[in-house]
Amino acid sequence: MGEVAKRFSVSVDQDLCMGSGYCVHAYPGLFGLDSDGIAELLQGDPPQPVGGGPMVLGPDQVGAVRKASDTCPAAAIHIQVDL
Amino acid sequence: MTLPRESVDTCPVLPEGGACAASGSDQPVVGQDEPPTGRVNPWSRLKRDPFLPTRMQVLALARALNGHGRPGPLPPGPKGLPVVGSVLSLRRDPYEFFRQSAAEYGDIYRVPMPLYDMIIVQHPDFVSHFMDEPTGRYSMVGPARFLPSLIGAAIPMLEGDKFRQRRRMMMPLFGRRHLARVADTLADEFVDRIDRWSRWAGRGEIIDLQHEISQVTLPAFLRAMFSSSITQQEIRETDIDLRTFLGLIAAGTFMAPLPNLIPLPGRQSAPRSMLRLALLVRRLVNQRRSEPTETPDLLNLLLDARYDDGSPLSERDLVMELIILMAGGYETVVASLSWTLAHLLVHPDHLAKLYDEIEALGGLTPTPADLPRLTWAKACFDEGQRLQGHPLNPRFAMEDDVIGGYHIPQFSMVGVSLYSVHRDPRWWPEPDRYDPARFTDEALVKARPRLAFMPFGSGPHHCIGSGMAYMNAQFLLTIMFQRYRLTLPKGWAPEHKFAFSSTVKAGLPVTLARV
Repeated sequence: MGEVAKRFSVSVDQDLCMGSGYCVHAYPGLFGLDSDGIAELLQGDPPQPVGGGPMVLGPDQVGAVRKASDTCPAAAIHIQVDL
Repeated sequence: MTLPRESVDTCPVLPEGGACAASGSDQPVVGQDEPPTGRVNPWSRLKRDPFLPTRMQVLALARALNGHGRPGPLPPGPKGLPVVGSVLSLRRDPYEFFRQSAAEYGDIYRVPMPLYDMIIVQHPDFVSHFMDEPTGRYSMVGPARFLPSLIGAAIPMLEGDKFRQRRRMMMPLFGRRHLARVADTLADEFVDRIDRWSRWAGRGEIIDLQHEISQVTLPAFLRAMFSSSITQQEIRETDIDLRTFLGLIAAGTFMAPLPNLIPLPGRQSAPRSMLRLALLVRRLVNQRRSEPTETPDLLNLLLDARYDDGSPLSERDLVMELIILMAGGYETVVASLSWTLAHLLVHPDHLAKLYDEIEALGGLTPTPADLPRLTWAKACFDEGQRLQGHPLNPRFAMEDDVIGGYHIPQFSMVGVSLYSVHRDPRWWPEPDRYDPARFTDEALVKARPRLAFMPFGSGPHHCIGSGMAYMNAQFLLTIMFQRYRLTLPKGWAPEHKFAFSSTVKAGLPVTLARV
Protein backbone atom coordinates (compact mmCIF):
# COMPACT_ATOMS: atom_id res chain seq x y z
CA MET A 1 0.00 0.00 0.00
CA GLY A 2 2.90 2.35 0.65
CA GLU A 3 0.79 3.77 3.47
CA VAL A 4 3.28 2.57 6.09
CA ALA A 5 6.19 4.64 4.82
CA LYS A 6 4.19 7.90 4.85
CA ARG A 7 4.57 10.36 7.68
CA PHE A 8 1.69 12.60 8.57
CA SER A 9 1.79 15.95 10.26
CA VAL A 10 -0.97 18.23 11.46
CA SER A 11 -1.27 21.99 11.68
CA VAL A 12 -3.93 24.35 12.99
CA ASP A 13 -4.58 27.56 11.07
CA GLN A 14 -5.04 29.84 14.05
CA ASP A 15 -6.36 32.68 11.90
CA LEU A 16 -9.29 30.51 10.84
CA CYS A 17 -10.02 28.91 14.22
CA MET A 18 -13.30 30.18 15.66
CA GLY A 19 -12.73 28.61 19.04
CA SER A 20 -15.67 26.20 18.90
CA GLY A 21 -13.56 23.71 20.87
CA TYR A 22 -14.83 20.53 19.18
CA CYS A 23 -11.28 19.19 18.70
CA VAL A 24 -10.39 19.93 22.32
CA HIS A 25 -13.43 18.08 23.65
CA ALA A 26 -12.95 15.08 21.40
CA TYR A 27 -9.15 14.74 21.68
CA PRO A 28 -7.94 16.59 24.79
CA GLY A 29 -4.47 14.99 24.56
CA LEU A 30 -3.89 16.40 21.07
CA PHE A 31 -5.60 19.80 21.11
CA GLY A 32 -5.90 22.53 23.70
CA LEU A 33 -7.14 26.11 23.83
CA ASP A 34 -4.72 28.97 24.38
CA SER A 35 -5.55 32.00 26.53
CA ASP A 36 -7.41 33.64 23.60
CA GLY A 37 -9.61 30.58 23.15
CA ILE A 38 -7.83 29.56 19.95
CA ALA A 39 -7.00 25.90 19.33
CA GLU A 40 -3.38 24.82 19.65
CA LEU A 41 -1.57 21.51 19.29
CA LEU A 42 -0.27 19.55 22.24
CA GLN A 43 2.78 17.32 22.21
CA GLY A 44 4.44 14.90 24.62
CA ASP A 45 3.47 13.45 27.95
CA PRO A 46 2.31 15.38 29.88
CA PRO A 47 1.03 17.32 26.84
CA GLN A 48 2.73 20.67 26.24
CA PRO A 49 1.33 23.32 23.89
CA VAL A 50 3.29 23.76 20.65
CA GLY A 51 1.11 26.38 18.94
CA GLY A 52 -0.30 25.87 15.46
CA GLY A 53 2.25 23.33 14.24
CA PRO A 54 3.01 21.61 11.97
CA MET A 55 3.50 18.69 14.30
CA VAL A 56 4.49 15.17 13.24
CA LEU A 57 1.91 12.54 14.14
CA GLY A 58 2.36 9.05 15.49
CA PRO A 59 0.66 6.36 13.39
CA ASP A 60 -1.96 5.85 16.11
CA GLN A 61 -2.91 9.54 16.08
CA VAL A 62 -3.72 9.92 12.38
CA GLY A 63 -7.28 8.59 12.66
CA ALA A 64 -8.14 10.85 15.56
CA VAL A 65 -6.73 13.93 13.84
CA ARG A 66 -8.57 13.12 10.63
CA LYS A 67 -11.86 12.96 12.56
CA ALA A 68 -11.06 16.24 14.30
CA SER A 69 -10.27 17.80 10.93
CA ASP A 70 -13.60 16.58 9.51
CA THR A 71 -15.65 18.04 12.35
CA CYS A 72 -13.80 21.36 12.62
CA PRO A 73 -16.43 23.95 11.62
CA ALA A 74 -13.73 26.40 10.51
CA ALA A 75 -11.82 23.81 8.45
CA ALA A 76 -8.75 25.00 10.34
CA ILE A 77 -7.13 21.60 10.99
CA HIS A 78 -4.93 20.49 8.10
CA ILE A 79 -3.21 17.15 7.65
CA GLN A 80 -0.09 17.01 5.48
CA VAL A 81 1.54 13.92 4.10
CA ASP A 82 5.34 14.10 4.27
CA LEU A 83 6.84 11.71 1.76
CA MET B 1 -47.66 6.95 24.92
CA THR B 2 -44.84 4.42 24.95
CA LEU B 3 -41.23 5.43 25.11
CA PRO B 4 -39.38 2.94 22.91
CA ARG B 5 -35.99 4.17 24.05
CA GLU B 6 -36.70 3.10 27.61
CA SER B 7 -37.05 -0.50 26.58
CA VAL B 8 -33.90 -0.52 24.49
CA ASP B 9 -31.96 -2.82 26.75
CA THR B 10 -34.36 -5.61 26.05
CA CYS B 11 -33.96 -5.15 22.28
CA PRO B 12 -37.19 -3.79 20.81
CA VAL B 13 -39.40 -5.47 18.30
CA LEU B 14 -37.87 -4.73 14.94
CA PRO B 15 -39.11 -4.82 11.40
CA GLU B 16 -38.15 -8.09 9.77
CA GLY B 17 -34.61 -7.98 8.54
CA GLY B 18 -33.84 -4.92 10.64
CA ALA B 19 -30.52 -5.19 12.42
CA CYS B 20 -30.77 -4.92 16.17
CA ALA B 21 -28.18 -2.29 16.97
CA ALA B 22 -29.57 -1.79 20.43
CA SER B 23 -26.94 -3.25 22.68
CA GLY B 24 -26.76 -0.24 25.00
CA SER B 25 -29.18 2.46 25.95
CA ASP B 26 -27.33 5.07 23.87
CA GLN B 27 -27.56 3.08 20.66
CA PRO B 28 -29.94 4.18 17.93
CA VAL B 29 -33.40 2.76 18.30
CA VAL B 30 -34.81 1.45 15.07
CA GLY B 31 -38.48 2.25 14.70
CA GLN B 32 -41.18 -0.12 15.82
CA ASP B 33 -43.99 -0.18 13.36
CA GLU B 34 -45.98 -3.31 12.74
CA PRO B 35 -43.51 -5.71 11.12
CA PRO B 36 -43.89 -5.60 7.32
CA THR B 37 -44.41 -9.07 5.95
CA GLY B 38 -43.58 -9.06 2.26
CA ARG B 39 -45.59 -7.20 -0.38
CA VAL B 40 -49.19 -6.45 0.48
CA ASN B 41 -51.68 -6.62 -2.34
CA PRO B 42 -52.33 -2.98 -3.33
CA TRP B 43 -56.08 -3.60 -3.65
CA SER B 44 -56.45 -4.94 -0.14
CA ARG B 45 -54.48 -1.93 1.14
CA LEU B 46 -56.75 0.36 -0.84
CA LYS B 47 -59.82 -1.27 0.69
CA ARG B 48 -58.39 -0.70 4.16
CA ASP B 49 -57.42 2.89 3.40
CA PRO B 50 -59.18 4.42 0.37
CA PHE B 51 -57.02 7.55 0.70
CA LEU B 52 -53.83 5.55 0.24
CA PRO B 53 -52.81 7.18 -3.08
CA THR B 54 -53.01 10.64 -1.52
CA ARG B 55 -50.55 9.58 1.14
CA MET B 56 -47.94 8.55 -1.38
CA GLN B 57 -45.35 11.23 -1.92
CA VAL B 58 -44.73 12.46 -5.43
CA LEU B 59 -41.23 11.03 -5.25
CA ALA B 60 -42.46 7.52 -4.48
CA LEU B 61 -45.15 7.69 -7.18
CA ALA B 62 -42.60 8.87 -9.73
CA ARG B 63 -40.27 6.04 -8.81
CA ALA B 64 -43.08 3.51 -9.02
CA LEU B 65 -43.95 4.75 -12.52
CA ASN B 66 -40.40 5.02 -13.91
CA GLY B 67 -39.53 1.46 -13.01
CA HIS B 68 -37.70 1.84 -9.70
CA GLY B 69 -40.46 -0.22 -8.14
CA ARG B 70 -42.60 0.43 -5.13
CA PRO B 71 -40.95 1.87 -2.03
CA GLY B 72 -39.48 -0.63 0.40
CA PRO B 73 -40.27 -0.72 4.11
CA LEU B 74 -40.72 2.85 5.26
CA PRO B 75 -39.68 4.16 8.64
CA PRO B 76 -42.58 4.26 11.11
CA GLY B 77 -44.34 7.53 11.73
CA PRO B 78 -47.64 9.32 12.11
CA LYS B 79 -50.27 8.44 9.51
CA GLY B 80 -51.45 11.99 9.02
CA LEU B 81 -54.48 13.14 7.06
CA PRO B 82 -55.17 12.36 3.40
CA VAL B 83 -53.34 14.70 0.98
CA VAL B 84 -51.99 17.16 3.57
CA GLY B 85 -50.31 14.58 5.83
CA SER B 86 -49.16 15.95 9.17
CA VAL B 87 -49.10 19.59 8.10
CA LEU B 88 -51.83 20.72 10.47
CA SER B 89 -50.33 19.21 13.63
CA LEU B 90 -46.95 20.50 12.52
CA ARG B 91 -48.32 24.02 12.08
CA ARG B 92 -50.05 23.89 15.47
CA ASP B 93 -46.83 23.18 17.38
CA PRO B 94 -43.78 22.19 15.34
CA TYR B 95 -41.72 21.87 18.54
CA GLU B 96 -43.73 19.36 20.54
CA PHE B 97 -44.82 17.58 17.36
CA PHE B 98 -41.27 16.36 16.74
CA ARG B 99 -40.59 15.66 20.40
CA GLN B 100 -43.70 13.51 20.72
CA SER B 101 -43.07 11.77 17.42
CA ALA B 102 -39.54 10.86 18.53
CA ALA B 103 -40.88 9.53 21.83
CA GLU B 104 -43.44 7.48 19.98
CA TYR B 105 -41.58 6.27 16.90
CA GLY B 106 -37.91 6.19 17.90
CA ASP B 107 -34.67 7.37 16.38
CA ILE B 108 -35.81 7.51 12.76
CA TYR B 109 -39.34 8.22 11.64
CA ARG B 110 -41.27 9.50 8.67
CA VAL B 111 -43.60 12.50 8.64
CA PRO B 112 -46.09 12.58 5.77
CA MET B 113 -46.36 15.98 4.07
CA PRO B 114 -48.05 17.24 0.93
CA LEU B 115 -45.93 16.30 -2.11
CA TYR B 116 -43.00 14.92 -0.11
CA ASP B 117 -42.27 13.04 3.11
CA MET B 118 -39.77 14.09 5.71
CA ILE B 119 -37.45 11.53 7.29
CA ILE B 120 -36.61 12.78 10.78
CA VAL B 121 -33.73 11.33 12.78
CA GLN B 122 -33.31 11.71 16.50
CA HIS B 123 -30.12 9.87 17.40
CA PRO B 124 -26.85 11.87 17.23
CA ASP B 125 -25.19 9.07 15.22
CA PHE B 126 -27.85 9.31 12.51
CA VAL B 127 -27.64 13.11 12.67
CA SER B 128 -23.89 12.97 12.11
CA HIS B 129 -24.41 10.62 9.17
CA PHE B 130 -26.22 13.24 7.11
CA MET B 131 -25.08 16.55 8.65
CA ASP B 132 -21.34 15.76 8.67
CA GLU B 133 -21.38 14.37 5.13
CA PRO B 134 -18.47 16.30 3.55
CA THR B 135 -19.02 15.71 -0.18
CA GLY B 136 -22.33 17.51 -0.66
CA ARG B 137 -24.38 14.32 -0.96
CA TYR B 138 -26.75 16.03 1.47
CA SER B 139 -27.64 19.48 0.19
CA MET B 140 -29.36 22.41 1.86
CA VAL B 141 -31.33 23.50 -1.19
CA GLY B 142 -31.84 20.13 -2.87
CA PRO B 143 -33.99 20.05 -5.97
CA ALA B 144 -34.26 23.88 -5.96
CA ARG B 145 -30.69 24.06 -7.25
CA PHE B 146 -31.74 26.41 -10.03
CA LEU B 147 -32.83 29.06 -7.53
CA PRO B 148 -29.41 30.44 -6.50
CA SER B 149 -28.50 31.30 -10.07
CA LEU B 150 -31.68 33.38 -10.32
CA ILE B 151 -31.61 35.24 -7.02
CA GLY B 152 -27.90 35.11 -6.22
CA ALA B 153 -26.03 32.37 -4.40
CA ALA B 154 -24.90 32.55 -0.80
CA ILE B 155 -22.96 29.98 1.17
CA PRO B 156 -25.94 27.97 2.46
CA MET B 157 -27.09 27.32 -1.09
CA LEU B 158 -23.77 26.03 -2.39
CA GLU B 159 -22.20 22.58 -2.24
CA GLY B 160 -19.00 20.92 -3.39
CA ASP B 161 -16.08 22.87 -4.85
CA LYS B 162 -17.83 26.19 -5.23
CA PHE B 163 -19.01 25.95 -1.64
CA ARG B 164 -15.53 25.20 -0.31
CA GLN B 165 -13.97 28.09 -2.22
CA ARG B 166 -16.63 30.54 -1.07
CA ARG B 167 -16.45 29.38 2.52
CA ARG B 168 -12.67 29.72 2.44
CA MET B 169 -13.05 33.31 1.24
CA MET B 170 -15.22 34.24 4.20
CA MET B 171 -13.72 32.09 6.92
CA PRO B 172 -10.93 34.47 7.97
CA LEU B 173 -13.53 37.07 8.89
CA PHE B 174 -15.08 34.80 11.48
CA GLY B 175 -11.91 33.47 13.03
CA ARG B 176 -11.32 34.35 16.63
CA ARG B 177 -8.46 36.72 15.75
CA HIS B 178 -10.49 38.79 13.34
CA LEU B 179 -13.39 38.93 15.78
CA ALA B 180 -11.04 40.57 18.25
CA ARG B 181 -10.64 43.39 15.70
CA VAL B 182 -14.39 44.11 15.43
CA ALA B 183 -15.01 43.52 19.14
CA ASP B 184 -14.45 47.15 20.10
CA THR B 185 -16.88 48.42 17.47
CA LEU B 186 -19.55 45.98 18.63
CA ALA B 187 -19.05 46.61 22.35
CA ASP B 188 -19.05 50.37 21.75
CA GLU B 189 -22.38 50.26 19.91
CA PHE B 190 -23.87 47.87 22.49
CA VAL B 191 -22.92 50.21 25.35
CA ASP B 192 -24.28 53.26 23.55
CA ARG B 193 -27.65 51.62 22.83
CA ILE B 194 -28.08 49.77 26.13
CA ASP B 195 -27.35 53.03 27.99
CA ARG B 196 -30.48 54.42 26.33
CA TRP B 197 -32.60 51.86 28.23
CA SER B 198 -32.12 53.97 31.33
CA ARG B 199 -35.21 55.95 30.34
CA TRP B 200 -37.31 52.92 31.38
CA ALA B 201 -35.33 52.06 34.50
CA GLY B 202 -37.12 52.24 37.84
CA ARG B 203 -40.46 53.27 36.30
CA GLY B 204 -42.16 49.90 36.50
CA GLU B 205 -43.00 50.12 32.81
CA ILE B 206 -43.07 46.77 31.00
CA ILE B 207 -41.02 46.78 27.81
CA ASP B 208 -40.53 44.06 25.20
CA LEU B 209 -36.87 43.31 25.69
CA GLN B 210 -36.74 40.94 22.71
CA HIS B 211 -37.52 43.87 20.44
CA GLU B 212 -35.14 46.18 22.29
CA ILE B 213 -32.28 43.68 21.94
CA SER B 214 -32.84 43.65 18.19
CA GLN B 215 -32.55 47.43 18.19
CA VAL B 216 -29.17 47.02 19.87
CA THR B 217 -27.71 44.19 17.80
CA LEU B 218 -28.86 45.18 14.33
CA PRO B 219 -27.14 48.59 14.23
CA ALA B 220 -24.04 47.08 15.83
CA PHE B 221 -23.83 44.41 13.13
CA LEU B 222 -24.50 46.84 10.34
CA ARG B 223 -21.66 48.98 11.65
CA ALA B 224 -19.31 46.00 11.95
CA MET B 225 -20.24 44.82 8.46
CA PHE B 226 -20.38 48.09 6.58
CA SER B 227 -18.58 50.56 8.87
CA SER B 228 -21.18 53.17 8.07
CA SER B 229 -23.89 54.51 10.24
CA ILE B 230 -27.38 53.82 9.11
CA THR B 231 -30.37 55.97 10.01
CA GLN B 232 -32.88 54.99 12.67
CA GLN B 233 -35.53 54.73 9.97
CA GLU B 234 -33.38 52.33 7.94
CA ILE B 235 -32.71 50.19 10.99
CA ARG B 236 -36.44 49.84 11.63
CA GLU B 237 -37.11 48.97 8.00
CA THR B 238 -34.20 46.56 7.77
CA ASP B 239 -35.47 44.81 10.90
CA ILE B 240 -38.85 44.26 9.22
CA ASP B 241 -37.25 43.27 5.91
CA LEU B 242 -34.89 40.68 7.37
CA ARG B 243 -37.74 39.14 9.37
CA THR B 244 -39.89 38.98 6.25
CA PHE B 245 -37.04 37.41 4.33
CA LEU B 246 -36.59 34.72 6.99
CA GLY B 247 -40.36 34.28 7.23
CA LEU B 248 -40.43 33.56 3.53
CA ILE B 249 -37.88 30.77 3.97
CA ALA B 250 -39.71 29.48 7.06
CA ALA B 251 -43.00 29.30 5.17
CA GLY B 252 -41.36 26.88 2.73
CA THR B 253 -41.33 24.27 5.49
CA PHE B 254 -45.11 24.60 6.06
CA MET B 255 -44.41 25.38 9.72
CA ALA B 256 -44.97 29.13 9.57
CA PRO B 257 -47.53 31.35 7.87
CA LEU B 258 -46.63 32.87 4.50
CA PRO B 259 -45.76 36.59 4.60
CA ASN B 260 -47.81 38.93 2.40
CA LEU B 261 -46.82 38.16 -1.16
CA ILE B 262 -48.80 40.86 -2.94
CA PRO B 263 -47.33 44.34 -2.68
CA LEU B 264 -50.16 46.76 -1.93
CA PRO B 265 -49.55 50.38 -1.00
CA GLY B 266 -49.48 51.01 2.74
CA ARG B 267 -48.60 47.54 3.95
CA GLN B 268 -45.45 45.50 4.37
CA SER B 269 -45.01 42.61 1.95
CA ALA B 270 -42.33 40.16 0.93
CA PRO B 271 -41.60 41.72 -2.50
CA ARG B 272 -41.41 45.19 -0.97
CA SER B 273 -39.06 44.00 1.78
CA MET B 274 -36.80 42.10 -0.60
CA LEU B 275 -36.54 45.05 -2.91
CA ARG B 276 -35.83 47.50 -0.09
CA LEU B 277 -33.21 45.16 1.37
CA ALA B 278 -31.46 44.63 -1.97
CA LEU B 279 -31.49 48.38 -2.64
CA LEU B 280 -29.98 49.18 0.76
CA VAL B 281 -27.19 46.65 0.29
CA ARG B 282 -26.54 47.80 -3.25
CA ARG B 283 -26.36 51.40 -2.12
CA LEU B 284 -23.82 50.50 0.58
CA VAL B 285 -21.78 48.50 -1.94
CA ASN B 286 -21.78 51.31 -4.50
CA GLN B 287 -20.93 53.87 -1.86
CA ARG B 288 -17.88 51.81 -0.88
CA ARG B 289 -16.85 51.37 -4.50
CA SER B 290 -16.87 55.12 -5.06
CA GLU B 291 -15.08 55.84 -1.77
CA PRO B 292 -12.82 52.85 -1.04
CA THR B 293 -11.55 52.42 2.52
CA GLU B 294 -8.88 50.31 4.19
CA THR B 295 -11.15 49.18 7.06
CA PRO B 296 -11.08 45.37 7.41
CA ASP B 297 -14.88 45.10 7.55
CA LEU B 298 -17.04 42.42 5.98
CA LEU B 299 -17.88 44.51 2.94
CA ASN B 300 -14.23 45.13 2.03
CA LEU B 301 -13.39 41.49 2.57
CA LEU B 302 -16.14 40.32 0.24
CA LEU B 303 -15.25 42.96 -2.36
CA ASP B 304 -11.63 41.79 -2.30
CA ALA B 305 -12.47 38.07 -2.23
CA ARG B 306 -11.40 36.05 -5.26
CA TYR B 307 -12.17 32.53 -6.41
CA ASP B 308 -9.25 30.20 -7.12
CA ASP B 309 -9.25 31.40 -10.76
CA GLY B 310 -8.93 35.05 -9.69
CA SER B 311 -12.49 36.14 -10.48
CA PRO B 312 -14.50 38.20 -7.96
CA LEU B 313 -17.98 37.49 -6.62
CA SER B 314 -20.74 38.39 -9.04
CA GLU B 315 -22.86 41.40 -8.06
CA ARG B 316 -25.90 39.20 -7.44
CA ASP B 317 -23.98 36.75 -5.26
CA LEU B 318 -22.38 39.59 -3.33
CA VAL B 319 -25.74 41.14 -2.46
CA MET B 320 -27.27 37.78 -1.52
CA GLU B 321 -24.28 36.84 0.63
CA LEU B 322 -24.49 40.14 2.51
CA ILE B 323 -28.23 39.78 3.07
CA ILE B 324 -27.81 36.21 4.36
CA LEU B 325 -25.05 37.34 6.71
CA MET B 326 -27.17 40.20 8.03
CA ALA B 327 -30.13 37.90 8.59
CA GLY B 328 -28.08 35.08 10.07
CA GLY B 329 -26.06 37.46 12.18
CA TYR B 330 -28.45 39.46 14.22
CA GLU B 331 -31.87 37.82 14.32
CA THR B 332 -30.46 34.55 15.66
CA VAL B 333 -28.66 36.26 18.53
CA VAL B 334 -31.77 38.25 19.42
CA ALA B 335 -33.82 35.07 19.63
CA SER B 336 -31.32 32.95 21.55
CA LEU B 337 -30.48 35.72 23.99
CA SER B 338 -34.19 36.31 24.60
CA TRP B 339 -34.62 32.61 25.40
CA THR B 340 -31.62 32.73 27.71
CA LEU B 341 -33.11 35.67 29.64
CA ALA B 342 -36.59 34.12 29.66
CA HIS B 343 -35.19 31.23 31.73
CA LEU B 344 -32.31 32.90 33.52
CA LEU B 345 -34.35 35.74 35.05
CA VAL B 346 -36.51 33.36 37.05
CA HIS B 347 -33.50 31.57 38.60
CA PRO B 348 -32.04 33.85 41.30
CA ASP B 349 -29.23 31.38 42.12
CA HIS B 350 -27.94 31.22 38.54
CA LEU B 351 -28.33 35.00 38.26
CA ALA B 352 -26.36 35.66 41.43
CA LYS B 353 -23.49 33.59 40.06
CA LEU B 354 -23.60 35.60 36.84
CA TYR B 355 -23.59 38.93 38.74
CA ASP B 356 -20.47 37.77 40.62
CA GLU B 357 -18.71 36.83 37.41
CA ILE B 358 -19.55 40.19 35.83
CA GLU B 359 -18.62 42.05 39.02
CA ALA B 360 -15.08 40.70 38.59
CA LEU B 361 -14.66 42.90 35.47
CA GLY B 362 -14.96 45.94 37.74
CA GLY B 363 -17.51 47.77 35.61
CA LEU B 364 -15.26 47.96 32.55
CA THR B 365 -16.61 47.34 29.05
CA PRO B 366 -15.81 43.71 28.18
CA THR B 367 -13.08 42.91 25.64
CA PRO B 368 -12.17 39.63 23.91
CA ALA B 369 -9.57 39.08 26.65
CA ASP B 370 -12.43 38.84 29.18
CA LEU B 371 -14.27 36.10 27.30
CA PRO B 372 -12.43 33.17 28.94
CA ARG B 373 -13.40 34.66 32.31
CA LEU B 374 -17.10 34.86 31.36
CA THR B 375 -17.64 31.09 31.38
CA TRP B 376 -20.85 31.15 33.42
CA ALA B 377 -22.33 33.72 31.01
CA LYS B 378 -21.47 31.36 28.17
CA ALA B 379 -23.04 28.40 30.00
CA CYS B 380 -26.20 30.42 30.70
CA PHE B 381 -26.38 31.24 26.99
CA ASP B 382 -25.78 27.61 25.93
CA GLU B 383 -28.47 26.36 28.28
CA GLY B 384 -30.80 29.02 26.88
CA GLN B 385 -30.01 27.83 23.36
CA ARG B 386 -30.63 24.24 24.39
CA LEU B 387 -34.14 24.98 25.59
CA GLN B 388 -34.76 27.35 22.68
CA GLY B 389 -34.09 24.65 20.12
CA HIS B 390 -35.10 24.77 16.50
CA PRO B 391 -37.94 22.64 15.19
CA LEU B 392 -36.19 21.35 12.11
CA ASN B 393 -32.82 21.44 10.37
CA PRO B 394 -33.31 19.72 7.01
CA ARG B 395 -31.13 18.51 4.14
CA PHE B 396 -31.96 16.88 0.83
CA ALA B 397 -30.42 13.53 -0.06
CA MET B 398 -28.85 14.03 -3.48
CA GLU B 399 -28.19 10.29 -3.88
CA ASP B 400 -29.80 7.11 -2.60
CA ASP B 401 -28.67 6.28 0.90
CA VAL B 402 -29.42 4.05 3.88
CA ILE B 403 -29.95 5.38 7.41
CA GLY B 404 -30.74 3.07 10.32
CA GLY B 405 -31.47 0.23 7.92
CA TYR B 406 -34.06 2.23 5.97
CA HIS B 407 -33.65 3.07 2.32
CA ILE B 408 -33.46 6.84 1.73
CA PRO B 409 -34.36 7.50 -1.92
CA GLN B 410 -32.71 10.34 -3.83
CA PHE B 411 -34.25 13.80 -3.15
CA SER B 412 -35.75 12.70 0.17
CA MET B 413 -35.82 15.36 2.80
CA VAL B 414 -33.86 14.23 5.84
CA GLY B 415 -33.95 16.37 8.95
CA VAL B 416 -33.29 16.66 12.63
CA SER B 417 -35.31 18.52 15.21
CA LEU B 418 -32.86 20.33 17.46
CA TYR B 419 -35.65 21.08 19.90
CA SER B 420 -36.36 17.39 20.26
CA VAL B 421 -32.69 16.30 20.46
CA HIS B 422 -31.96 19.04 23.01
CA ARG B 423 -34.68 17.59 25.26
CA ASP B 424 -33.90 13.92 24.76
CA PRO B 425 -33.93 12.40 28.27
CA ARG B 426 -31.11 10.01 27.29
CA TRP B 427 -28.65 12.93 27.26
CA TRP B 428 -30.50 15.50 29.33
CA PRO B 429 -31.92 14.36 32.65
CA GLU B 430 -34.95 16.49 33.61
CA PRO B 431 -34.82 17.96 30.10
CA ASP B 432 -37.17 20.89 30.72
CA ARG B 433 -35.20 22.27 33.67
CA TYR B 434 -32.89 25.26 33.08
CA ASP B 435 -29.48 24.46 34.55
CA PRO B 436 -26.37 26.09 33.04
CA ALA B 437 -24.16 23.72 35.07
CA ARG B 438 -24.84 21.11 32.38
CA PHE B 439 -22.28 23.04 30.33
CA THR B 440 -19.68 23.79 33.00
CA ASP B 441 -19.46 20.29 34.49
CA GLU B 442 -16.74 18.65 32.35
CA ALA B 443 -17.85 15.13 33.30
CA LEU B 444 -21.41 15.84 32.11
CA VAL B 445 -20.17 17.41 28.87
CA LYS B 446 -17.93 14.41 28.13
CA ALA B 447 -20.66 11.89 28.91
CA ARG B 448 -22.92 13.22 26.11
CA PRO B 449 -22.49 12.66 22.38
CA ARG B 450 -21.20 15.81 20.64
CA LEU B 451 -24.41 16.21 18.65
CA ALA B 452 -26.71 15.99 21.66
CA PHE B 453 -26.25 19.79 21.55
CA MET B 454 -26.03 21.40 18.15
CA PRO B 455 -27.50 24.92 18.08
CA PHE B 456 -25.07 25.81 15.28
CA GLY B 457 -25.63 22.65 13.25
CA SER B 458 -22.72 20.43 12.29
CA GLY B 459 -20.55 19.47 9.36
CA PRO B 460 -19.63 21.61 6.36
CA HIS B 461 -22.59 23.97 6.85
CA HIS B 462 -21.87 24.55 10.54
CA CYS B 463 -22.74 28.15 11.41
CA ILE B 464 -19.80 30.28 10.33
CA GLY B 465 -20.58 32.86 12.99
CA SER B 466 -20.68 30.74 16.14
CA GLY B 467 -17.60 32.44 17.60
CA MET B 468 -19.26 35.78 16.87
CA ALA B 469 -22.50 34.58 18.50
CA TYR B 470 -20.78 33.63 21.76
CA MET B 471 -18.84 36.88 21.86
CA ASN B 472 -22.02 38.88 21.33
CA ALA B 473 -24.00 36.96 23.91
CA GLN B 474 -21.25 37.25 26.53
CA PHE B 475 -20.82 40.96 25.79
CA LEU B 476 -24.54 41.71 25.85
CA LEU B 477 -25.22 39.84 29.10
CA THR B 478 -22.28 41.61 30.74
CA ILE B 479 -23.18 45.10 29.52
CA MET B 480 -26.86 44.66 30.46
CA PHE B 481 -26.22 43.38 33.96
CA GLN B 482 -23.50 45.94 34.62
CA ARG B 483 -26.29 48.51 34.37
CA TYR B 484 -29.68 46.98 35.13
CA ARG B 485 -31.61 44.35 37.01
CA LEU B 486 -34.37 42.78 34.92
CA THR B 487 -37.63 41.30 36.21
CA LEU B 488 -40.26 39.20 34.48
CA PRO B 489 -43.91 39.30 35.60
CA LYS B 490 -44.84 36.61 38.15
CA GLY B 491 -46.12 33.43 36.57
CA TRP B 492 -45.04 34.37 33.06
CA ALA B 493 -43.60 31.51 31.00
CA PRO B 494 -42.05 31.73 27.54
CA GLU B 495 -43.65 30.09 24.53
CA HIS B 496 -41.99 29.19 21.25
CA LYS B 497 -42.74 30.99 18.03
CA PHE B 498 -41.30 29.67 14.80
CA ALA B 499 -40.18 32.52 12.56
CA PHE B 500 -37.17 30.81 11.00
CA SER B 501 -35.41 31.51 14.27
CA SER B 502 -37.19 30.30 17.36
CA THR B 503 -38.25 33.52 19.04
CA VAL B 504 -40.18 34.12 22.27
CA LYS B 505 -43.86 34.41 21.37
CA ALA B 506 -45.20 37.94 21.99
CA GLY B 507 -41.79 39.10 23.23
CA LEU B 508 -40.04 39.30 26.56
CA PRO B 509 -42.03 41.43 29.05
CA VAL B 510 -39.44 42.93 31.35
CA THR B 511 -39.24 45.75 33.89
CA LEU B 512 -35.90 47.43 34.44
CA ALA B 513 -34.25 48.76 37.56
CA ARG B 514 -30.86 50.41 37.81
CA VAL B 515 -28.12 48.45 39.59
